[in-house]
Amino acid sequence: MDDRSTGGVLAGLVRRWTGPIFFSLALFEMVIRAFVYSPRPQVPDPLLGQVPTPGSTWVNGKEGLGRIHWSREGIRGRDLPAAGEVKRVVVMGDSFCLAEGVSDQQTFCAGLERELSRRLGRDVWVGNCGRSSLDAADYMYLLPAYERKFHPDLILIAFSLSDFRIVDHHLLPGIMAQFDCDAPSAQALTCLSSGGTRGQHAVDATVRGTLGRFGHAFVDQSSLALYGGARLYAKLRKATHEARINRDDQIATAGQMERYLAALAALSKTPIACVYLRPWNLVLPATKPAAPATTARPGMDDAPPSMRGSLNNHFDLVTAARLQEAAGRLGIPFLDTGPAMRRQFERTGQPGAGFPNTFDGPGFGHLNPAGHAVVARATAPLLARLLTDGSGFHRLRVAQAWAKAAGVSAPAGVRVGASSAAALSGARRLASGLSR
Amino acid sequence: MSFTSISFAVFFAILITLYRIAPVSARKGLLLAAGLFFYGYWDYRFLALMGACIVADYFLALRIYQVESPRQKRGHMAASAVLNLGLLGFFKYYNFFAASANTMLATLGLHVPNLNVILPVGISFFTFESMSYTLDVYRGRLEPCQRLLDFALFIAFFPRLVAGPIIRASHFLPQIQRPLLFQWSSIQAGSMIFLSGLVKKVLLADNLAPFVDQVYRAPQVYHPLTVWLATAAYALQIYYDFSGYSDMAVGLARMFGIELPINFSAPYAARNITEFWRRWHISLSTWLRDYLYISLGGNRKGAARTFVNLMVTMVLGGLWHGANWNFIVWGGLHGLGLAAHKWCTARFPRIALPALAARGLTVLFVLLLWIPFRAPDWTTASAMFHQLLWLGHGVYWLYPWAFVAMAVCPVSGIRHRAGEPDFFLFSTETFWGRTQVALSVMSLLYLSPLNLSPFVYFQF
Repeated sequence: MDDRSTGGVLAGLVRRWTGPIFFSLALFEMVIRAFVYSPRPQVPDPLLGQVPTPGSTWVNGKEGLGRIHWSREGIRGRDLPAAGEVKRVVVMGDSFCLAEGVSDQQTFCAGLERELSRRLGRDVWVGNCGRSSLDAADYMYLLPAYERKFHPDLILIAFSLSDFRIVDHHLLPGIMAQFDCDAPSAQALTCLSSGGTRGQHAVDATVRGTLGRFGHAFVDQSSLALYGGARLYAKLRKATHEARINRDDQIATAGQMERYLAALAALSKTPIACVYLRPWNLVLPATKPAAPATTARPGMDDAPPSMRGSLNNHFDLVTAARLQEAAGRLGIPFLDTGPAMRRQFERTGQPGAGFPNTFDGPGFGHLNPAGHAVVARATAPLLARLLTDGSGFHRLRVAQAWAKAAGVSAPAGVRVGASSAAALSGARRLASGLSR
Repeated sequence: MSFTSISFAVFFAILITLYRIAPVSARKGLLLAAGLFFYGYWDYRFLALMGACIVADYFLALRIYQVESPRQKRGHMAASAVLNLGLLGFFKYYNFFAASANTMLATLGLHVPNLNVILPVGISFFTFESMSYTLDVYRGRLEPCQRLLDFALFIAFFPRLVAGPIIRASHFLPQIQRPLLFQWSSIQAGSMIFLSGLVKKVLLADNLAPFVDQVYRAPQVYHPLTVWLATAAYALQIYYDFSGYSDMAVGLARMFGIELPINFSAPYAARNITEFWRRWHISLSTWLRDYLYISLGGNRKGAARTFVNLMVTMVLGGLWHGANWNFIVWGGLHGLGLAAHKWCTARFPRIALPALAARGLTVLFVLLLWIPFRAPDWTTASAMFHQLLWLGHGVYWLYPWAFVAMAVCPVSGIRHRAGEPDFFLFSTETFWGRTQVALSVMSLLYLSPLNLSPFVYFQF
């Protein structure tokens, strides 16, 4: 039998291990902060709810390695020039637009800014207002806020596959219920914070009082706490509703999209244009023979099923085609980046999406630097024309007239500043949903 | 209940607490109960299978020892072999042979029924251990175990129950016939070895698994450089996965004061294929050597017979890994490699490659043979080789973890010689050593994948 008592052994352990543990914690804090996931401080904004602390820099090395610098306005990229003859473009979108995996200069918004400045021969500011987890319904709430905040000359909405999935509990009521703004979505909460903080908000809503405040301060300052908490949350979280598209009828119809775009036009005072970010996922054989059941398969030769339902080129193509049809009817400028992405893939053999440091690798995931460059090059001519020939306003008026004739109006509840209230309501909803 | 699961952590915490407080005389019973619970946790129905194996071989060994007539001894030995090989053959190979037979007999209109037999976890390991015990008694190398409890614990000792190392009764039984003590020094030493295994498995192997899986799913899509990287990554994945498991088993056993044999000894540092097999899955290769290769005559009956013996041993060794043609081919090619090395050393005894070149060639040979081992079918294997020969283009994917694992392997393996264990040596005596331990734990918490892969060797 060992002659040492359990108490003595424990005391010895504490004495010998305290130093190494603290040293390792400090070292890991630095490594995680620099290469994996930095703290994500946020401040309240009267129009937008919680926004990243202006001037701060966030690091995301989970997919690519992006260093995200937040401007004075709490959006990504350079500060809005104070005055002068600068053309302003606001780009709204989700994580594809925000592009946490690439550096500030590699986002398509930055590329667009350079390309437009070159084409127009003048200073153009492109504000990257992308936020993770947004979808089409969120833009209804955010568009007026951005209009008021930035007074843009043009608003570009960058859609992606997740925007029009009606399996999502958020979008379906929004579209089908004629934008019932009395019931802002739970997503409105997460849309008001930037990527990767969903878990943090859930914990916030659950842990209250002094403990909650202490925890909040802790994760605001420590990468280990934030990243560790997010991992723990992801590990413990029960598999909930998977917003995954498996059939064509789980995507909004062209008619629904048309009404949505018409309402957006009715809401807007600024010319709007849309781009659909179609990444072209790699086509690999499925591990399980679970071919997605499609009710219609337009252009299947061009869009073979990829390995996953949620990253399926076919559903991307369906969404893009319907959106193009809807925008075309309204006269709203629209561009599908799919053909340009495919040309890039055929020319270089390398996909415009995905990063080497993920488990899926290139071909799956958000746009990589090459993909962002393609989108910037493909979109610039359209935006340059809209900014110079006045057709942007003309097209907006056409869409608004169409909306008026069809009886589609902006949601009554949407007003500038509504987002903060929506966030609070959404927070409660999200918290109760999670606790169930 | 995998060693990397929460349920195992709970199981182990309860067990070690009970072990601490239990009287010495009750500890063997406690470990046996834990082993049966551990095994039954996978599928309680297979407990009967293991129980039958334990009881039958215990009594057969006693009978072998007691009877005088060689004929009777042979008869009891044959009964033990038939029982163990029969169980292994039925549960592991029936589906394979039925499918193969059906393919061959299809033209004759004959059909062997397919029973969809489920493979009990760990059967390849405990049947080999049980059979080696009766063989040792039969050959007079070992006296039979007098207590059923001891023999049952030998078979059902949980740390190595499902994926080895394959232990010998002569090594294990004397250890449990001494009083089983609880010692903090053993706990500390064992937990450091366990941590070594955890780092290998969870941090290295599991971070490589998704990359390997993806490239093997469609190698033709990826650039030759990526396919080379995936080939190397699989070699590292299977090594870290299995040697990680073995380290964990050795560490757990050490905590109970029991020494298990080492299973890996920096295999990719081998200078030739013969040395590789002295460093890779040592408990299996020595088992095959002692009970199969030497029984067939070894190298005592001329060059041609040695070649045949090697081929038979390695093909059966390949088949031991699984009921599939790719394992047979893998084993056969390794047999050819061993035979070629034997021939070369006999024919050109004075020619020796520089160490670096010899290591490089050995690693390359082993690396390429992992392709048929891993590929799900021949089409995939040939697509892998096609890309490796730089005959295709594709998507670049230079996966960072593959480089991390490639860097760690020589650094950790370079100081080991054949026969020494290749644990990551964590010393708790110095501040820097304890810091390494703390950093390893932090890495496990922060850098491991959220979804851990099952151990590769569980399927064998």
